[in-house]
Amino acid sequence: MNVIIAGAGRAGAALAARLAEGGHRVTVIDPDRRTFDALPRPRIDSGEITVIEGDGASNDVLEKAGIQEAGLFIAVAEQDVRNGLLAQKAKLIYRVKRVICSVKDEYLSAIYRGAGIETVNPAQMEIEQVMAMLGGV
Amino acid sequence: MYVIVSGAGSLGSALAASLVAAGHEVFVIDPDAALLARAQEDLGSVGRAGYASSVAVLTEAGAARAQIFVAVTPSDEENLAACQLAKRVLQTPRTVALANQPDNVRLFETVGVDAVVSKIDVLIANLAGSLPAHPLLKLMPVAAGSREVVGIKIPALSVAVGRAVREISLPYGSMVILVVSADGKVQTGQPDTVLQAEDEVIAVAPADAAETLWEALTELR
Repeated sequence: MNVIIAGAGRAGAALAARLAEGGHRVTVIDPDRRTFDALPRPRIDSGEITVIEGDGASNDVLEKAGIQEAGLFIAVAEQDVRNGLLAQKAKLIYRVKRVICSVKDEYLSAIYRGAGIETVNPAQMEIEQVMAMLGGV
Repeated sequence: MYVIVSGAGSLGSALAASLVAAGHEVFVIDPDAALLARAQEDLGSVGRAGYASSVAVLTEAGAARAQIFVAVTPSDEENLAACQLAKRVLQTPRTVALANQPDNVRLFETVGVDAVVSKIDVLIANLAGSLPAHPLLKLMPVAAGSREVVGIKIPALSVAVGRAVREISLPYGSMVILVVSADGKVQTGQPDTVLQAEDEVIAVAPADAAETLWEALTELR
């Protein structure tokens, strides 16, 4: 499957590596090329991971990343509102089948889910992990 | 009316000022406290430092009783999220957003922002309005000087673009003779000849109506 990941931060880079390992063709978009250093170099050289330095909200950049053929779009940039714009564009304008968006704000999360986007909340996962460690405090 | 404006930059503060001048109640939101303070000094209206893409900030601003929410920050993602929250969570009846990137206009409209203002369109319209229009070329006086053959170039933003000759109100006694397109195609002027941007029109008009004809063909949208 062709996968586009917007945002090459910690989560984006790790996801790209895992998905490429699983045999998917992954394209990573980030405006800051330095973030690409966190990606596995051999998989970039072999073409399993493609990197695009640019603004993920630009239609040119998205089309260059092959959004028309992508089966999965993952928005994992820093900010909720950024991820929301990218994920909604992928889902509502480019009709990508599966779109996953990282968002901490519950109100925004509900709006994006209403548009058929799957949401993950990194803050909530952190809270749940800590609570699990504390074991029913 | 009660209007909330997100963005106290040059656009937001000018908009807020004109709304206040028109007698509306205005609340301004901007994350930059210094910008906000400057806007408030000029306006005397209330405001809050923060991001409008937060339900807490919108609630405090009174978005639930506002008739219009306007987002004109330089960040498209901020403008979009703020409008979606205002509309969906606080039920503000009308939302207006600035799309800094023309690429985002369609998405804004698709998710239900009521009015989308494209920055490029605003700039082009302003720029075109401030540029001198193509001049009226008086080619040849005819009929003992009572008529004038003129050349008029159609500006890209003219009201005449996309219209047939018969749909344009031309001064009495004037007639479009030839329409030459930018790529050199020549058509005789018929009532159903549609004018395009940058077409050059050769027309005849009563000598005292040549200017009026020029205005009819070059007036900006």
